[in-house]
Amino acid sequence: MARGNRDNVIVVPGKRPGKRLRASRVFGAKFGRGKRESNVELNLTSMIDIFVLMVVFLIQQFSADGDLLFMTEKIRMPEAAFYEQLERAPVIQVSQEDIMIEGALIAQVSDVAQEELWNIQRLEEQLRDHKKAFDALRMAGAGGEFKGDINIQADRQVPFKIIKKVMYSANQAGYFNINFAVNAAARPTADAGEASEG
Amino acid sequence: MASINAGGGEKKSLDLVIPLVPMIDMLAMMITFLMMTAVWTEIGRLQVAQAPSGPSDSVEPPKPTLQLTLTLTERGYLLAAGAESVEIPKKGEEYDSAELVKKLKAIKKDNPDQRAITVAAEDSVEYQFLVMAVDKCLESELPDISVTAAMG
Repeated sequence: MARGNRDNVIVVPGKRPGKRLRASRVFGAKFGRGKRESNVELNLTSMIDIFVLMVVFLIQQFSADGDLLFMTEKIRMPEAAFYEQLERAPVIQVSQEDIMIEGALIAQVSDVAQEELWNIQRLEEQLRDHKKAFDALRMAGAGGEFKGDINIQADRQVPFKIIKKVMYSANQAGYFNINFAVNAAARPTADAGEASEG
Repeated sequence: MASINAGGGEKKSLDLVIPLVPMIDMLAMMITFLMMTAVWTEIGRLQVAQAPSGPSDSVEPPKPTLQLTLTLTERGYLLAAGAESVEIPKKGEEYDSAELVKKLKAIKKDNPDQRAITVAAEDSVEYQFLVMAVDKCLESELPDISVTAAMG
């Protein structure tokens, strides 16, 4: 093999015009593209604009409320328009099958529905334990006052018979301020209200 | 290049290069974090008390007002204001909440000090209808809501 060829063992694939064709004014420009400047500058201003808009939008959307409840597919919460901000409190979950407190199974809905008694014994005990734990923390120096708040996160199709028993058990355990967790809905506008009245 | 005379014959450059790379890094990190922690569903609460012993958050002392009770039955709403009661039947399968709001607002207009209402429901009524009734009471500016079981 000739020495000149040995230097060009690795070559970039593509068309290789002859010297005369490359020098041609008409056809030469066509083969000269590869030699153009390959450094392309990003348009940073518009990119930063988009980033800033996205950050502002996402900060507006940011909410820590989702962490206060145990979101699950089994529970489809009802909607309400005139709601207040959710606060941290023990959560009783009521699906169409189970009753849970803070994610721990308490009873089956079918069993509770058959019971004649209004209170759910195990739920009441668990709530009393929660209250004792809160009192112990407060005695140890933790801040906060026991307000008797409880959040009920129930499926929209659960019969009131079950909700009634859950509420009664909470009441018996000393939790009087009952909060129904709901999904936010749009408030009716004044025009809609007037239209319904008309 | 733009410049300003800083005194003593020296000229201070006005050109400033903002370091964009760390800014882009920070924005990209913030977008990633916010996207990961984004909660797209807004959650709220409706506060109720259990009648008759449950306390409410009302700061004002209780005033002698109308005994207002809303009962949810399989047939519709039954609204009792003192000795008078009116039935609001269902519209097909749905409760007539527009009519309920209309009646509650009329009661509120006649009794501006009225804040309390008791919502009762039959055992078979679905939870979503109870929540809807509570929501309509709040819409009608009756914030002290007690929930109880319907008698009979």
